[in-house]
Amino acid sequence: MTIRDHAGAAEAFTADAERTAWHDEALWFVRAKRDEVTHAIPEWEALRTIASGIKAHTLSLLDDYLEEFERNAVAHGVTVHWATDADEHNRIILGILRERGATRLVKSKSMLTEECGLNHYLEAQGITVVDSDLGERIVQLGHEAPSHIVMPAIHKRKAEVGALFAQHFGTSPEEDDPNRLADAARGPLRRALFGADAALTGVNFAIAETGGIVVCTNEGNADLGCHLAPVHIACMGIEKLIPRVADLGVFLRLLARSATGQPITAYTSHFVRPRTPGQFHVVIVDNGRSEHLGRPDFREALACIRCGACLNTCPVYRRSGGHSYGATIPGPIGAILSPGIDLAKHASLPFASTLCGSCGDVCPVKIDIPGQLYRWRQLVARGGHLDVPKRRAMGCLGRILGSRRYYEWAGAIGRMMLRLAPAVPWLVRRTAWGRERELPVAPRESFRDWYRRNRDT
Amino acid sequence: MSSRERILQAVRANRPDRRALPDLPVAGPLTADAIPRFVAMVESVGGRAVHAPSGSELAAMIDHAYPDAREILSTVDEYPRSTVQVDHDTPREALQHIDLVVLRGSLGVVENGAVWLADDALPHRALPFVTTHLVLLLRADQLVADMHGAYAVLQLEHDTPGFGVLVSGPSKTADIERALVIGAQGPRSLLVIVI
Ligand code: SF4
Repeated sequence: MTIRDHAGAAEAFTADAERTAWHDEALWFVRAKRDEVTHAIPEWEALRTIASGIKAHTLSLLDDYLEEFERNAVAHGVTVHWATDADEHNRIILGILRERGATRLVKSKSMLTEECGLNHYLEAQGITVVDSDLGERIVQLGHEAPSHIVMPAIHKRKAEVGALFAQHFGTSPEEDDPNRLADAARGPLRRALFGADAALTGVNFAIAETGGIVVCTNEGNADLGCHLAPVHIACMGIEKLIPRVADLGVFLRLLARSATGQPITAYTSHFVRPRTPGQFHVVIVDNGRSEHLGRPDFREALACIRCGACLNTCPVYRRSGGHSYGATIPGPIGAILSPGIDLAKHASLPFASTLCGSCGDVCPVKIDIPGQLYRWRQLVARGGHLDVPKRRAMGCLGRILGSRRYYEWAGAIGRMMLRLAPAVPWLVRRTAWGRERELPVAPRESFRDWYRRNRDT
Repeated sequence: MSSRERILQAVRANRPDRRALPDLPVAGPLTADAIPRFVAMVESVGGRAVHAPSGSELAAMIDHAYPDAREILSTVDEYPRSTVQVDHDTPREALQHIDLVVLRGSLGVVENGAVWLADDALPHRALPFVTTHLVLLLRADQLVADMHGAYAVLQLEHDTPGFGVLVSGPSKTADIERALVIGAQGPRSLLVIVI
């Protein structure tokens, strides 16, 4: 694998210039809304600092908090399961379903089950899985993965959604009005929600103090699923823990504002006990997280509350689309999590960034994303995962910048090349640097020469 | 070794040095214009809110707002118009076509227009989500300024309900080209009445 992976995959997306421009603007609009609502909270920066501190504290005592969570959940009648990896997570869920003879599962948004490949696993076992979040349903019908952690179908234009719905929900193939399309999906989705044998949700926050979980949604699909089905299964990574109920006050003020510019999601549901009659299962999943906790330079990424703000603000994500990252979690946060899962496979991701720092500035839990991107780059290089041109170029650059004489020569050669380049169309059109850029006008002399000439005058 | 032990052991081995738990912000003060601000916030999240109709006026207002509602469930004395009975054991099929649910909230949050509903206010947990229209009654003295105030009042750490939800506006989605659509899978409208 070479470092061309992200850029190569992005080419498929950017080939459609109109889509790329729309995607870019649509996400920038969300970023602008985020700015507007966060600037209305004078204590915003203090909230970020506190949130970051709560997460750092929780991670430093995570085993204790996991045990406290389990104790309280069990006391409230919840069945708690532990899964070391994706495979065990999937088997546990199948086991819960099998025990009840359940064949129809409705899911609300859960990036963890995407990470574990749950849908494919269950479908191969004869379980019908319906993603009940509209965006997730769209990508499920299109046999795709979500391209954004908050807006799963943001890469799709409304006409494409219309084509899918014509095929599945019987709307007119010309229909592309978002209101009418969403309305066409409402009936089938509600029927699935009312007819499910079990409902699965993700977890936004797990509270050690009560053993309860909190799920934040806008559509109401998570609640429809788990209050109607006889079984509710909630899947969470070990990093979702927070110590106290009152900590929610901090995180809920940050989450929706950062994600979509809403003051809070339409529904913030606090699940503590199973409904009567009904079962409530919580599956706690590691799948590489405890290992990541052991990486001092990178463990802070486990504080992520999956708001998506770093995606919306990222100039690279906005113009390359979520699928170009080749990982469940795209964007800047994905680019610092994925190398921890498989460095060779995801070696290109830390380079899918200009290191402009915007992701770190918007992150509600103050993860130093740019710093981590930079540090992953070092590990990618040290691990020998750079592609040959980049490795050669870096080696060359290192020698040039390390020697005064080479540096002076390189400047002179560079100025000459710049003057000659327009005469060498290959340079301008065929290289990654030339293609989208205007070449600067080369100065006649270097600053050093100019300074020497003018020093004494 | 069980998976539970394996995970806990790995976490224990890898966790960073202990960091202090920060103090939480104190609740913001409730300003004199809390009610109009709450009303405006509910409207900005796609709901409707009104302040202070009383007694028969309130019932007439709900009647007027939902003239076509046939299957109605109300738990509030001010609106004794239930046409269906629902409890925990009601089969879900019977919840499918409910037009209007009227419930009493126990707390409202000015900064985000959310209203708290918990098990004790819910004959069935699905009610606020299955209904086409949802009406929530709230006393003005149940408003708090912000989320810190909300959790300070709710005290869930001492007495947690089995389920509780903050409802801010009707069900909505922006999953198709980011266009806001009110009434996704849940309620198509929300009316909050502050009394
Ligand atoms: S890293 Fe920060 S900004 Fe990005 S999704 Fe996570 S919490 Fe949000």
